[in-house]
Amino acid sequence: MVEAHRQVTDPRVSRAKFEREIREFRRLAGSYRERGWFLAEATFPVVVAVLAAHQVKPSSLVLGVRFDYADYDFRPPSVQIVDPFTAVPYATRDLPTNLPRAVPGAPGQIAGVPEGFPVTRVAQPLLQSYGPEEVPFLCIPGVREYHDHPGHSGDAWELHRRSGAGRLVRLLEVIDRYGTAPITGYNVQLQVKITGFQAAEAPE
Amino acid sequence: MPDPQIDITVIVNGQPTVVRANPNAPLLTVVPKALEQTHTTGQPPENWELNYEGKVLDPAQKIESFHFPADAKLFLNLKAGIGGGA
Repeated sequence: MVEAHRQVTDPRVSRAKFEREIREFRRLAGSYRERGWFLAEATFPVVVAVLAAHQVKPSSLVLGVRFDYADYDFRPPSVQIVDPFTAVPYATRDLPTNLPRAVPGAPGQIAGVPEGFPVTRVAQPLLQSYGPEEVPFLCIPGVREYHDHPGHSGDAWELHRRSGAGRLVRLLEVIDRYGTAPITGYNVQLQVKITGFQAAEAPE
Repeated sequence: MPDPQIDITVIVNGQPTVVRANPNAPLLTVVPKALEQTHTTGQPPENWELNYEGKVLDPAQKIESFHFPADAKLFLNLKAGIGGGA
């Protein structure tokens, strides 16, 4: 749940900027629909978008994203990955994807590999949390939970505000790129159960 | 003499703008123009990426090599940046 925060920006400013985000999204709604992006809810200050994996057949809704643009853009939007049907934030253990991003690994990170060996790439999740029961946050600039985290106190929101880091489409692009776009198919698990014998025709 | 310039629609963080470009120039030349036209500041061009139909484009390639249709929309977005390591 997003913490209550005292609105310091004139609400009319936040609402105007919110409505601009929605207006611009709807202007290109056809293009976004082709990519599997849908606006499920847009009532100030909250936007709920759902993202589908259109590239797999049958297509599937993968996740929802809840944005809270209260006090924008004095503060960046809050971003939470939610169930696309209920808009309830996922706990880390229930996430359909943790938005893995390939980053260079440290030399010698693999046991037995000598130092200086060509650097490997490891998958680092963009969704971070302190435990499987916790609601994760999107750990990139432009997200309120990122800038509020004490580990990022040197990377203030003010450094990113003018670049549009908190804009709706930009954030959806990141979530799509690392979350839904890489999906290539379904993992299927089958359980075989023996239910009896096959037999020849009963003898006379 | 035919005009060598072409118009490309670029969507910057969701905001559309039309950039006039030389088709023989690398795609990256489109980026600073699109940022300037949408008054988007604070991040250098190399921190942005262009994608078309969901695929990230090579900025070093010439514009004409992509054979964009007239109604093509290129999406210019900030890269994810440093993160994922809280």
